[in-house]
Amino acid sequence: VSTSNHKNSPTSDRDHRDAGDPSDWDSGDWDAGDWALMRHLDGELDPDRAKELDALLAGDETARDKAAGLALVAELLRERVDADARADGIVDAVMARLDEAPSDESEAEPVKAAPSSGRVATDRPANDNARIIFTLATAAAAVAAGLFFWGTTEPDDGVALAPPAEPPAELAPLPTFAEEAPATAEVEAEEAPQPVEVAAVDFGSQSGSVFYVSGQNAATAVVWVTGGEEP
Amino acid sequence: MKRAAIATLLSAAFLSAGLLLPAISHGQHAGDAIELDEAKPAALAEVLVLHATNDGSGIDPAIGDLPQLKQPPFSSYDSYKLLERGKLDLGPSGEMKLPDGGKLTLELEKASNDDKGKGRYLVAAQVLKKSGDKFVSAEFKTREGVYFFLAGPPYEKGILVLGIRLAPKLK
Repeated sequence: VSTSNHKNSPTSDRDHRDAGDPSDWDSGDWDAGDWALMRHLDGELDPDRAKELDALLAGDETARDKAAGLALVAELLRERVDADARADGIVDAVMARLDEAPSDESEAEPVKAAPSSGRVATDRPANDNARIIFTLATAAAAVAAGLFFWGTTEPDDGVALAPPAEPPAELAPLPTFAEEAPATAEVEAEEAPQPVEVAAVDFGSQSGSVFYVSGQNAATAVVWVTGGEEP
Repeated sequence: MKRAAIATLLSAAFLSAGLLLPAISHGQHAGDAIELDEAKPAALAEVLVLHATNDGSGIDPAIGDLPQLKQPPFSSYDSYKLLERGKLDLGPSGEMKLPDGGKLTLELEKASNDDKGKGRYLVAAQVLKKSGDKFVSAEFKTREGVYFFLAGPPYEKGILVLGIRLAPKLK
C-alpha cells in the first residue's frame, strides 16, 4: 500500500483524513492509524480502503496487536453495557464522542505534517501497547463506575477487568436507611395528626363507650357514658 | 492520545459522581428533623352545653353546624337544645359549672404546633357530680378547632352533652 495509491483512491477527503495514512502506522502515529482500525473494525470503511487495511494488517504485527486491543475494548464495553438495560445509550454516546475526537483533531491540524523523526519518537511511550492498556482500563473503569452511579447492581464476577464494580464502602449505610424507615413510620403513625383521639378514659362506676364520629371537616371523638344516675 | 484523555475524564467523572451521591443523600436526611414549638401550655376552650332529649323538638339552630348530632351515638336522641356556650381560659386549667349542679374541669397538659403550624393539645377533661364525685374523666389529643364530646350526665328526662374545642390563646 503506497501513499500515492491512497491519495488517488475514490474515497472522500474526509475519509482519508479520518482513516489516516497507512504509512502512519509504520511511523508509529497511533491516532490516525487507530482511527482507521476502529472504522475498519466497525465495518465503516469502503471496500477498497478495507482491502488496503487488511493487506497492511497481514504484514504488520504491530498493527495486528493494536487491532486486537481495540477489538477487545469494544467487545468488553458492548458485553458489559448490553447486559444492563439501564445503560441504554451510554455506549453510543461515549463512542460518538470518541469518534468525534480524532476528526476534530484532524481538522485542526494536518493528519501527518512530517515524517517521524527521532525527536517525535522520544516523545512517545517506548511501548505503544501501554496506551491500549491504559485506554482499556480507563474505559472499563468508566463503565463500571457509571453503572454503579445509576443504581445498585449485583456484582458481576464475570468482568475481571472491572474491579470498581465491587460494592464500595459507600453502600454500607443502606441497611441503616432500611432500619430507620420502619421507625419513622411508627413515629408518624403514633404522631399521626388525627384530628382528635381519646388518649385515656375512666368511666368510674358507670359504663360507657368511646366513639369516633365523622364530621363535616374532621372526625371527632365522643366519650359516651351510660347508666348514670340523677345527681 | 485524545481518546485516552477522554476516557480518563469520563472515568473520573463517573467515579466522582458515584462517590458524591451517597454523601448528598446523607445530607438530605440530616435536615429532615421538625422542631416542635413547646410553648408554655395555654389555650382557649369553647364549651357547648347541650341538652339531649327525645321530645321531638329537633336540633336547636343556635347550636350551629354540628352534623355529628345526626349520627350515632348522638342519634339516639332526636332533640338537642343549646343550654350554654361557655369559654374557658386554660392557663393551664379552667372549670365551669353545669346545669345539673355538677362541674366540668379542663386541664391543658401539653400544647404544641404541628408541621403546618396548627395547634395540637393534650387536654384532660373531668365531669364531676353535684356531690363532687367524679362522673367521668378522659384525656384527649386534639387539633385546634375540632370538637370532642363528653356525654352522659343525666339531666331532666335526657342527658347533658358537652362539646369542647380548643383554640390558641392570643398573647
